[in-house]
Amino acid sequence: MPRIQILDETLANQIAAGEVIERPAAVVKELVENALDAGAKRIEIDLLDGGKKLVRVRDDGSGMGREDARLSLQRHATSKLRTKDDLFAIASYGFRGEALPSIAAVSRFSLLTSEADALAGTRIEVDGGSLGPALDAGAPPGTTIEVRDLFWNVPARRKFIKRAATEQQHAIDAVLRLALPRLDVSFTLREGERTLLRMTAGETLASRAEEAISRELHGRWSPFDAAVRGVRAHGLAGSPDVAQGSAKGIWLFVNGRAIRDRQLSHAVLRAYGEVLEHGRFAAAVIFLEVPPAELDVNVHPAKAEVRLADARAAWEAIAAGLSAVLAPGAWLHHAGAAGAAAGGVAGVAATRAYALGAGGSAIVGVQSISSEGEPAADAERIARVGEAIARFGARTGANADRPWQPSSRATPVGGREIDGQPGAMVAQASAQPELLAAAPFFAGLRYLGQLHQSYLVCEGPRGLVLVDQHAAHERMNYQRLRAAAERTGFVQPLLVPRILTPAPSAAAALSASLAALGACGIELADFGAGTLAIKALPAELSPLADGQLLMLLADLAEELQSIGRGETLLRMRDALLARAACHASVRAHDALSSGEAQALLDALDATDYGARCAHGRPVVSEWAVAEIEKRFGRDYASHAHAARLESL
Amino acid sequence: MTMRHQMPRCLPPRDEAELRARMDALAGRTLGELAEQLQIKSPADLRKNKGWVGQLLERALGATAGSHAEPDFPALGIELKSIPVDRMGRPCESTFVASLDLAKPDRSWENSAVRKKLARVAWVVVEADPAIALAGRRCGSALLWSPSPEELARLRHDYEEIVELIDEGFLARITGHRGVVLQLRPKGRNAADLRSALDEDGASVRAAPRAFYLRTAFTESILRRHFQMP
Repeated sequence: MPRIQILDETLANQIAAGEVIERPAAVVKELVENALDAGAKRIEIDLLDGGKKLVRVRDDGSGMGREDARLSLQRHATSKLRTKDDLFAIASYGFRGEALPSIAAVSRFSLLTSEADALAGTRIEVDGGSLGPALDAGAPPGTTIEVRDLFWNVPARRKFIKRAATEQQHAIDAVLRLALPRLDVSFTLREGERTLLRMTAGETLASRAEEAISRELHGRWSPFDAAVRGVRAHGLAGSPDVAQGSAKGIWLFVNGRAIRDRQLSHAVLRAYGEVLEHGRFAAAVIFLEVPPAELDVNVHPAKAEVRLADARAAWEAIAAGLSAVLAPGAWLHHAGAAGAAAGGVAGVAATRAYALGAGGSAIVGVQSISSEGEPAADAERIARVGEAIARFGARTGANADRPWQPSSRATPVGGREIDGQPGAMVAQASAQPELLAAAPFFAGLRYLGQLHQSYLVCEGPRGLVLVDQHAAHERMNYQRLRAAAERTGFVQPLLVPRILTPAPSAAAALSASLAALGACGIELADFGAGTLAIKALPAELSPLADGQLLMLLADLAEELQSIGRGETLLRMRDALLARAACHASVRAHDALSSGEAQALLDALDATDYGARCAHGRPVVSEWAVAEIEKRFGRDYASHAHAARLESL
Repeated sequence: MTMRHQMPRCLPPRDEAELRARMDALAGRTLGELAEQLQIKSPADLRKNKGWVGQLLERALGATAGSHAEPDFPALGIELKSIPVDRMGRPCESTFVASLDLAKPDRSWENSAVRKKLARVAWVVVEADPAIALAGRRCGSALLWSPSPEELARLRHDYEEIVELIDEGFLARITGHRGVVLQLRPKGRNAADLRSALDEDGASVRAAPRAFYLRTAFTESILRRHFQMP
């Protein structure tokens, strides 16, 4: 007798279950996917004991005839695939025909199904893989599957199931991942009598995304849409103001399928890296639309990973789409919870209505917003700001002779063309065009004065706005330095090198990193006797006096020592430029005239990522009028006698 | 000048790369350091030593031709030119290119000494801020330059216009105002230093020797294009 034998069907199914079904949430995922593939519009999921005792999924989909019902429990039986070619044009969630037999092999399983026009439904029960007869049963159109006592016959696997509360969370997660791309389907998830999730058909993506990630994001989403070489990325970018300590708020979908992908997540982190401090993560819901032929979903048993023919295009589309809304600070226009209307992304419209329509004295300063969109007014504003910035630059010793230029709006990925193919990329906030067309945030502020010679105090449409003058100027300088560094041949040697004597440790660190410094436009050479010759500097830094340059060099040396080995030259460059930008900027405790302050505010609108400093810290902070009123005891619920501000 | 014989000379550079390296090594050095390295005594000022800086640089870089008609680095076809600049990096004076033979000026631009000398130039910027003592003035960054087609056309236009006027006997009417980038100016030791020339009627006259100079606006534009000015 040969030693090698064919496994029996039940054992083979149990092995397959090991790959696909690891916990109750995986059962939920597989069954809900089947329901969606059956065209269901209403899906109800019931759990008992976190799904350990029961997972029941009931749908109103197409249901199955008796023969199909029987076949569906056979391994590799599927209605979703006929030929090899179909495998590369998959539009359904499932296709392997493995899920049902695998689940049935490791549980007490029952299937109740009926087609819409059938006289009778079909019930089939499977107990630990042993298939019962197909019986007549009364059933509404659709399919109901019950999975009881998961892994009752596989004790080794049962040991890995966690507590009910934990499994419940995994199940919630699984349903949300399926519900986010299917706004046309209603989902209900219950644990016993308790409703864990209820999502009705037709609600907004924002509302489901808040359910999934955080309710704090209510009204703080910016829709984005970009396409690169046939790959479209769209979705919602969460406000950087609602940052989290982990990347769990980043939800990625490819052709409606939730996936994990380090490379694509990196595109999100990279785009948000411009506006967030190191170690902070924003929320984003990202849908990639890829031609099915360009996508291989058959690489992971649970289809949680996919392979893209042009992964770079997907990366670029995500980065471009997010950058297009993050660079101009689209989230600043959101009124947060107060301004958000239904749908969660209508904050801009609400804000504008408030700014233009209300006649209260608190918003007099923003009445001019309405004319800002006109080209003539824009040109005039640009000229005015250019002049003011030149004066500002001359006064602060930076950019004195450089003509000010408004930055290109919505230029994706730090203003660079991708692969030299500007035509290959479309990036816009198309879902709500008014988002980008909204009035400039900073120029719309009315400057009131300087606080502690460090903060610009302004009146904004929603209340009091403070702008950190150093952080603001630092971001402007950083963007300029980086834009210069990205131009080829940007390094212009100094007419006469500057000879400096830094501390020996700094000199050593700098001498060891000439390539990274060169990428920043800083060319150094050992000049003997502990001195360094600075042969080239970015124009923003050349006005610095020798003492300031020495401090800059010491800082750059410190930055170089803190950068981990193996960091890319680009990352090193950006870190060094962020430090350098700091040195070229006005400091806290520098007095600014009101003209200079206004010029700085105006220029911020023309600066990509102007709402965050080069290190990701906020440039601007707001105190809503409501919050201020509360401090003065004008919260009317408790102080009925207090008059409203505008009625005084 | 006696100093020429006192200054030690280094060997001429073998190629342009070596010259470039020598120029890079000069950048940031003071004239005092350079003089000390070459064991040359620095004068207190340049009033009686006008050519001292140029000759110091010639020695430091291994130039051989001096003020002859051929380029300073004959083997490389490169002319050495120092440009004294003020605090803002602007050239303080026009740049001598070549003397003009009044009796027999080069009519052909292509064969002219001006064309040959400007074919390839090693520019060395030198600080000339009067607030800095001569020994403390620094050499600037190196620039090996050839005129662009537009610059060449401009130079040729000025040159041919001036030579034609001389040919026609209008030397006396040529002032420093003529020429956009290139000008002709007297260059003599003193008023008694006169050479033969023709007047507009073809008669032989005695005239002060002349030389071609690059205007400061032209040299400044070259510097601005290549360097970040202070």
